Amino acid sequence: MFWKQLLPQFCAFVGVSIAPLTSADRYQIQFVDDENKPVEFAVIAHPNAPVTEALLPAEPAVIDQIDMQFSPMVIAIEQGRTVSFPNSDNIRHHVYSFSKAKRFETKLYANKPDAPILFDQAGVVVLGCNIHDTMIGYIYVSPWRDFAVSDQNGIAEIQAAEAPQSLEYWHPWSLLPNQIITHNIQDWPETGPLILKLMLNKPEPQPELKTFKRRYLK
Amino acid sequence: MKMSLRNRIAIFFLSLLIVSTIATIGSVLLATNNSVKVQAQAKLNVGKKVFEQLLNERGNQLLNSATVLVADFGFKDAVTSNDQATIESALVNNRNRINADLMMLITLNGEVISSQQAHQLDTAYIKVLLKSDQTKSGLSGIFLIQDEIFQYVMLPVKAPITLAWAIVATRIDKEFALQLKELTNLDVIFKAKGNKNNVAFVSTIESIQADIHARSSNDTSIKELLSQHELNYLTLAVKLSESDFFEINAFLNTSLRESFLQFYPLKVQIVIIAGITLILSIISAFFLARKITSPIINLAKVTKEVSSGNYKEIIEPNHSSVEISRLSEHFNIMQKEIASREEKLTYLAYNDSLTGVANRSYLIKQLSDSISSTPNKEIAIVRIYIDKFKEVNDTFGYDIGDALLIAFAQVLISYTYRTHYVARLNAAEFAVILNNVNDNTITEKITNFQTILEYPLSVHDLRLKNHIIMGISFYPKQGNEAEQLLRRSEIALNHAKDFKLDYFIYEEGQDERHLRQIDLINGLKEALKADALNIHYQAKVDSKLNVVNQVEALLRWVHPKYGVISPEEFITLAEQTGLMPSLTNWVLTNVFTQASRWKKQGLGITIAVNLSAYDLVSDFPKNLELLLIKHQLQPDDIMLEITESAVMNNPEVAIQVLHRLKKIGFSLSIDDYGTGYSSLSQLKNMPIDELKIDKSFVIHLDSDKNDQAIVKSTIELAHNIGLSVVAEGVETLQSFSMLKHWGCNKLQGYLISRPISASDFETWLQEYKVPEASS
Repeated sequence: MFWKQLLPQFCAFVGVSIAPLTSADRYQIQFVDDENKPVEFAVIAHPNAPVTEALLPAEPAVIDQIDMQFSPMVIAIEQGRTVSFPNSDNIRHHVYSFSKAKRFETKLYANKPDAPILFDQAGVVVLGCNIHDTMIGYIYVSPWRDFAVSDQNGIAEIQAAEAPQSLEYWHPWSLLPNQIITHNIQDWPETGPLILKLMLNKPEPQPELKTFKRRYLK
Repeated sequence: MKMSLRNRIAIFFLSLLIVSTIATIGSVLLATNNSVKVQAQAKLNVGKKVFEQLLNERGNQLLNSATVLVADFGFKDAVTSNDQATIESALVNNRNRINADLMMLITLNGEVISSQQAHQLDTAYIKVLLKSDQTKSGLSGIFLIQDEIFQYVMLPVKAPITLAWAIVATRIDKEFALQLKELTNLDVIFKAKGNKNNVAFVSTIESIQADIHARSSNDTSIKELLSQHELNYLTLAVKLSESDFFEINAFLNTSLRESFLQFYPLKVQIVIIAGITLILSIISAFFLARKITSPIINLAKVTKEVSSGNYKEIIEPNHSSVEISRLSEHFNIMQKEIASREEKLTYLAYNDSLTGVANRSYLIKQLSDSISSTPNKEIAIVRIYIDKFKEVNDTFGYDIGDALLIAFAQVLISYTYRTHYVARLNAAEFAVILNNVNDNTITEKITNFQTILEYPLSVHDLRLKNHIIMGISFYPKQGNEAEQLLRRSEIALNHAKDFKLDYFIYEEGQDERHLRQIDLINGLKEALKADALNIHYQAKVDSKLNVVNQVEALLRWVHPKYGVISPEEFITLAEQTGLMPSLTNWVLTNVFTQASRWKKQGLGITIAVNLSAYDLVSDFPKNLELLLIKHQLQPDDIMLEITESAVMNNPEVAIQVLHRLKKIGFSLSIDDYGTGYSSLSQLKNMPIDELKIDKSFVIHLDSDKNDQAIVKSTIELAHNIGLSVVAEGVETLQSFSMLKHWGCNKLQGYLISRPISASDFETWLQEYKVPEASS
């Protein structure tokens, strides 16, 4: 099973090995959990070159709201880029954030908000919907130029001229939420992606506290 | 201690009642107490459910409010503002909005971001709380902050991920306790002990709430506290919270006093009812006891009367109880029977059972009464004896004898009816007391008696003719006392019998003689016992040998009152009263002893002993033989003298005895010869050796020619049939000489010696010289 999942990754490695002549090499990192299963939505950044004005894409990034979920749940953007929150559901949403990196709210709306929101502070922005508590989304606002979000296979790929000496990564379910971890790398592996193990606490759907109950604690 | 039956019954019932009353009251009290406790317990159990529901309800309200609060966008906005003042104000505002007493914000790490409260929760406790919330969905419960108890809810503040924790709490204070009290009708105490010696205390009982010591005390239990305040409560503890940081308990209390008060009227009623019952019971117990015992007391009274001989009082058997009625009835029957039995006994005591006439006792009583009531009248006491009645019994049997007596008595009664008394004194002897009869008028009465009583009587087809003998005495002429008069009539009767008279009237002096005889008989008995008799010895002279070689033993008795009593008198009495064997025995013992003594002394004296007719019985010879052996004597040391009349009394046996005596070797002499039968034919049959001529022929021998002829021929006769002859009463030398001349073998009399004692005789013998016979 594990190997089946790793098969495309293996092919990619073949791809990498046949493109050594380009000026910038591609470096792959694979995120796994403590059961070695690939972890999606992990964000990785190379603290090497800051974002420059010129590199900022003109169009905003997009987080859609489909079936009362942010889609995708996690995006990573350059510091200073705008994000648009189109509403694909036929109900209204009230998107907000109380995160330090960006506090905002878009009052109840359908289809598309008036304007994209600018994220000019680096950091993690947690998105919520005021009327749908189960909707949680994340925007990783990166001050660095090179970053990536892991796909279903846990693979995230960044381009660099030479092998990065350190990397920053983050995952919304990490045991220490909102904390960006800086990881120093001694040796990149000769072959294959750099495997990073994440300690995650995947949020299960929690029952609400419905009734008062006395507790006896020891 | 003896107790009366009445008291016993009363006390028994009373103690029974008291015990049952106490038991009843006790059980009622016990039951009510139990009931109170059970009810109280039930009330507590119900109260506890209500209490918990109320507590949870309040918690739910708090939870609801808090849930709404933490979901509020504005609230989230405020608490994430990072501005402490804003956060504080938001908390205060929202706390007020949901009417909570406490609100605090805590970071995910358990640090308090904000709390408007001056005092704060222990951080360690918060961390434990957070850790314990595995689901991260929130907690609720009760905690202690310093000296206050709170009901709290801890909820996550999500935006949308959990950013912080909000704790919202309301105070459990007296106000709440009073609410609980109102709803549960129980007194509520909340007590909390913290691990920092902090204590919280809330009570709806004012006196306890006011007790500062109780409130601050860490250890005093609620029970002790209640008892310290003299409160009678039943308490149920409900644990509210328990942790290493504090322990919180609620105590639900219901006052037993109030419950007991409910039963108070019941208890009073029961005590009153028991009291009344007891009093009524005491009265009825005493009444019942009296009712049971009063007839018994009555019976006891009557019993006492009966014992003193009063049978008149009849008990009325009208008592309500069957037993007592029956007892009374039986008692009356018993009384009647005792009376009738006593009557019978009296009758028997005073009447002759055969003939129905009075007995001796009654006769004496009647006579005494008669004399004392009318001392001046004259009375004749007539004793009537049916002569030869014994023959009737012997011939016809006792039935006829009895029938004769009855018929005889009937005749007597019919003659003396109402005017005189009749009594039966013994077998064939009756007595009649004739009033107003004296010695002048008695003859007529005697003739009458003879006429009617000797008339033949028809008894069982027999015609029996009686001969009666009567003895009569008179009052007052011959005595003043009943006993005396009766005795004198008896003496008269005996005299008539002895002299074969038809009747005899008592003569003066008879009674005295009679009494003297009785005295002598008694005296003789005593003299025999006391050895107060003497034997004197009178010498006999052998006319051929001219020596004294024989004596006659003569019994001599000196009565202390009557002086010397003649042997004839007392021996006759001894014979009549059955004293003869003892007397003979006494005489023989002494004579044999004396003979033995003289034999040892070599005196050569034979002792002659007089025998009575009563001695001539079959075992007499054997006794004499034994005496000979005992005293080492030979038969010829003793001579036996027997009167002719003694032999003639029962000649067959007597002669047989004489033969046996003769065979043993005794010499036999016929005493007093010439005064009795002097039957020569008998004399011929008797194995005798000697004739003893009676002294009446000898005393005047010297002067009386007839006596001389009789004595001389008797001596010749005797000698001719081979008998020797003894003459007694020799008082003159002339008589002595004549007798010697005629060949009389032995001579005895005052001329030779009077009867003298053994010792005197011994002296006399040494000096005596036989007189020379005159020619």
